[in-house]
Amino acid sequence: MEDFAKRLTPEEALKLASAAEHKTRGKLKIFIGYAPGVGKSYSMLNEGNRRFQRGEEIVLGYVEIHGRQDTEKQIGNLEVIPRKKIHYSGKILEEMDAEAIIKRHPTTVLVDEIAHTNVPGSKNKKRYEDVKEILAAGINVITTLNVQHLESLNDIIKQITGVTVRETIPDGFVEKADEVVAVDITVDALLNRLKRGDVYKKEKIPDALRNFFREGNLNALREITLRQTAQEVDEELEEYMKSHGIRESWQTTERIMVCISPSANAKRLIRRGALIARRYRCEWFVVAVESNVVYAEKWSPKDKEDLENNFTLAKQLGAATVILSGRSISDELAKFAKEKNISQIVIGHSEKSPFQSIFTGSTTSRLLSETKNIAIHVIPTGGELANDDHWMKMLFGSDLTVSDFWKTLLMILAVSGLNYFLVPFLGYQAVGFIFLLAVLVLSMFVSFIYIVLFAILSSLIWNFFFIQPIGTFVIHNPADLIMSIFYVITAIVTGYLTSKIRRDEKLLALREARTDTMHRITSIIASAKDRHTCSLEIEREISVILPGKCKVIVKSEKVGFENILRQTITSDEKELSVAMWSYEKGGVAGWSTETLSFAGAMYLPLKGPSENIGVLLYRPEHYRKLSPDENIFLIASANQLAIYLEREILRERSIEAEELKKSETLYRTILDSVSHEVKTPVTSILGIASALEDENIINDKNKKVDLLQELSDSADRLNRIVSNLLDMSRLASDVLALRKDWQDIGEVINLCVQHLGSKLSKHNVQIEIEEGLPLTMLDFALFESALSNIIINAATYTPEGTKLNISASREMEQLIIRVADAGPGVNEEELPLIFDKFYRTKDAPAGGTGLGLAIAKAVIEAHGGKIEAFNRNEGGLEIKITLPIGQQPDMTEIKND
Amino acid sequence: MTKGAKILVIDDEPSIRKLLNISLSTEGYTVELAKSGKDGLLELNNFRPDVIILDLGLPDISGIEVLNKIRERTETPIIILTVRDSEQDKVLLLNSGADDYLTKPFSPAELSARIKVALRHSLNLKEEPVYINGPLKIDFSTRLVEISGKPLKLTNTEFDLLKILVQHAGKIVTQKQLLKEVWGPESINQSHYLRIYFSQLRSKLEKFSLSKLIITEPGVGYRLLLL
Repeated sequence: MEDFAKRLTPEEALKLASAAEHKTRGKLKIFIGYAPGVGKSYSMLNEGNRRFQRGEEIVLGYVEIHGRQDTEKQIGNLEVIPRKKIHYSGKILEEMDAEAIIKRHPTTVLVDEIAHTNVPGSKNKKRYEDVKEILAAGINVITTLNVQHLESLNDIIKQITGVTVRETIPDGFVEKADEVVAVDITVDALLNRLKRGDVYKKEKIPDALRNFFREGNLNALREITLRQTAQEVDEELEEYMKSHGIRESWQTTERIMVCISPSANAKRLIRRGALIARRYRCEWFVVAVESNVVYAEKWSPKDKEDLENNFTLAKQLGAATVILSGRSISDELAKFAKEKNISQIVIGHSEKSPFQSIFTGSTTSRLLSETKNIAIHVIPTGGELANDDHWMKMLFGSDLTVSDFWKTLLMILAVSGLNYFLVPFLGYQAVGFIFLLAVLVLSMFVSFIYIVLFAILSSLIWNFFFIQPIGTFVIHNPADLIMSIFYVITAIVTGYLTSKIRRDEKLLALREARTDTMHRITSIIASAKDRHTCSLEIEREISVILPGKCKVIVKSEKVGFENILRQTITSDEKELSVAMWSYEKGGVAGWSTETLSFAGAMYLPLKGPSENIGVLLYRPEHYRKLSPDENIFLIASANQLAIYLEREILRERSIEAEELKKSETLYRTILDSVSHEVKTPVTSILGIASALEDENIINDKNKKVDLLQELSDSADRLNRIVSNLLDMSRLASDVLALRKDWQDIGEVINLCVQHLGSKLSKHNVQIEIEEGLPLTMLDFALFESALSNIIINAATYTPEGTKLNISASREMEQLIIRVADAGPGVNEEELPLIFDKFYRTKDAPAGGTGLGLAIAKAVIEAHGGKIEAFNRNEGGLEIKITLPIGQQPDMTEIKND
Repeated sequence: MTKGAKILVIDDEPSIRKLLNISLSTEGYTVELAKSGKDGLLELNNFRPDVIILDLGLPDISGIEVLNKIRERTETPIIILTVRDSEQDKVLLLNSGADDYLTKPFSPAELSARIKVALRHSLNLKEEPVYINGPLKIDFSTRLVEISGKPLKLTNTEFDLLKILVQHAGKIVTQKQLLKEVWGPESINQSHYLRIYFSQLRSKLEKFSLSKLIITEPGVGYRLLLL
């Protein structure tokens, strides 16, 4: 039973991520050797036997004996799955039977020579594809491989051995292997084996010695193999460190930057970068620059896909990946290199035609000149880097600017035509200016290439049609020649400048938008009413600049942060663990970062000055690495927000503390007051009870009657205090369930007075109820309590014999109840205070808790009404209760008989 | 004759039992005490009381259960003892077969009055066609009401309501009972009908200074005052 409450550590999350893929996948173990005969098959079989003896269910899927006896002996007792017979060209050939293996479904199967190409007619072309199926079925596989079968090493091996190996395996397959073991023997030992005839038959030996088995060959191959194996080990270490979010302090100050383009050939550069980075055990970056210059070629979707693949490889190898965009590729690279203190650059050697190089030089050479202190590795690649200078290509067939082409053409024709008509009036020199004007206009609409085109064409037209001698490209007048040349120059420069302005404006607009939003975020925070609306507004602002989903998640005092995450974002354990990591460690994590980048979103910690507040989630609409600008924007926003949120949270906390203090004070006051109040009647009761034991008193009838009356009164008083306390607690509890029912206010008042009975005996009580008052929804018990308290108050604080007026009337949509006495009234300053809890006026007689009016107020207000106190003109205090008259109940059943 | 009547008190509080024992026996009743629901049910068979006084806060069985069990065997009047703020329990039990109630703290005088009423009704005094209660005289056959000889004009509904109170004279009649009998079962929640009608009734009675005849027990029901 899964414990859902347990949180994943990032290692576990990573394991989960890959486990999800490898859930039922079998384990792959590869024995790699550098040449035939080193003992790969032997080792494989040996291991198979050992495991078999240990009790593992292991079978032999395929082994190529090559007639080597030692190898054959190693088969031992292993069960052999019979080979599949395939008919091809009249022959019967044998291949490994993958279906039979899968059907047999052992724990592990031994498969020799994984790079083997299957006989045509087999289901899969290559044996490694069969092995893939076997692994997918959940069966472990142990296999063998020669180092020259690795795709990425193919060319090196070709160079060394002169042999092109055709049966290759994609690197990815090997990289996914769970275990790679290098089967290694010294070159001398191998040569001895060969000479002994243990590798090939006697006849083949001389040939082998001459070709493949040359000592130099073998040594080189051995080194490559060992290095390859070492690389795998290193990669695992990198993975481990990365998944722990550990960034070891770099041991050297080296920093590598690999510059790539979307082309697939970039992989070579990446690998080289990985190699170098490994050697120095340092940080390294893989950078691609998208040129946004006016005439440059933009990346197509295929390009972007290739780039993603390259980046995936780069990340796997431990690089940080970055997309930059800028006007000049070399400029951006140089800038990045300087910012990040790059010490070594790996760049591809572009294969440009000399023609192109004459005009513009290459990115590489420009980079070289811009980065004087950095070592640059120029790696020959098949493909080229995107260059700043693609304009040659642009002229001959580009998909983007076809409409621009037509616009230009149109413009040329139109203006030429115009000039033709104007020449008689203006003269042939003016033509240049008119064309120039046209350039200005055109540059607003088309890309720079076409400006150049226009400039040249218009110059030629001018020359041919308008400059003497007309009809030729010859220019007689030297002044005219100069004019013509300068026209072209001016046109091109003008066009360039105008396009630059256009482009710069766009860039500026973008920057402004970002600054604007930063500004807006600051002002949202400054004017925020509460942190909830503030968070929402900021989420919205951020999504304007960075399309995608943005969410602010703040911790709470009551619920664990993880549960909040679970409720608000997702229950995906991987995502949760990344978010938690960001929150706890206070670092940026997730997609587009260097930590736990497999996550689906980016998590920025909201870290206030003194505590962690929460996490800001950003999930982009399209997954593209954020530019440094955008990163800074997000981080700055998060920081601002965090500061604000912390302030608010602290403020809320201090308010709560205040409230707590207040209620504690109240609690203490109640205890004090109650204990005093209760003690009084209790003392009285006890005293009387004891007195009644006295013979003298029992026999004295008057005394007895007096005491018994006193006993009754005290008990009554005690009862009243208890009632009040019960009312108070009902009112104080959050769940005040008023039990309302339709009541006739007149009835209520009469009953109330009736119940008070003897307590009002010393006063002259007058009740005036207006005729035809509507019914009101009241909680009878509480309301009676409130009214009683008010009336008793009036009786207690006014002299005996005075009048007590209780009236009920209607004023528009309100019901007014007044309790008026003819006593001394209350001081003006104390008037508003009498409804406070435990308030007793300065000259109050003993025996009240001061709760009565407070209860009354709470009850009336709970009914949606109002209570006020006035000093009457004719002397005395009036308490006025205002109650809203609600909608009357359905009266249709009332029979009017 | 109510003297000598047998009263069963079921209450878990020793002090209450003592108090009731003393006060009721002083009045001449024969009192039996039970301290739990179970005991009470046992005594029911042995003692065969005329009136049962049942406390609602019993520890072993809930009040409603005891009530039901008692009602399974007998129609003996039951007066329940309740505390303030237990309106719902009160009403529930009254509607389930209890005859009357008393809210603690109560005075023995109140209890005595209730007991007398209960006994009266249980002795099944024949329904007279004419009812007299102080100055009030009601002739059920002619549906005429007189107070001190002077006629009192009542609407049909008002008369019906008064009649029910009279039939249970002195005993509490719950709102539900009244609404059901006068307006029918579908109207048992329309408490505002009662407010309006009793208000009218009272004002009519007030002209004879007899509005006190109708006692409102808020949240529970109404009761006729025995003069």
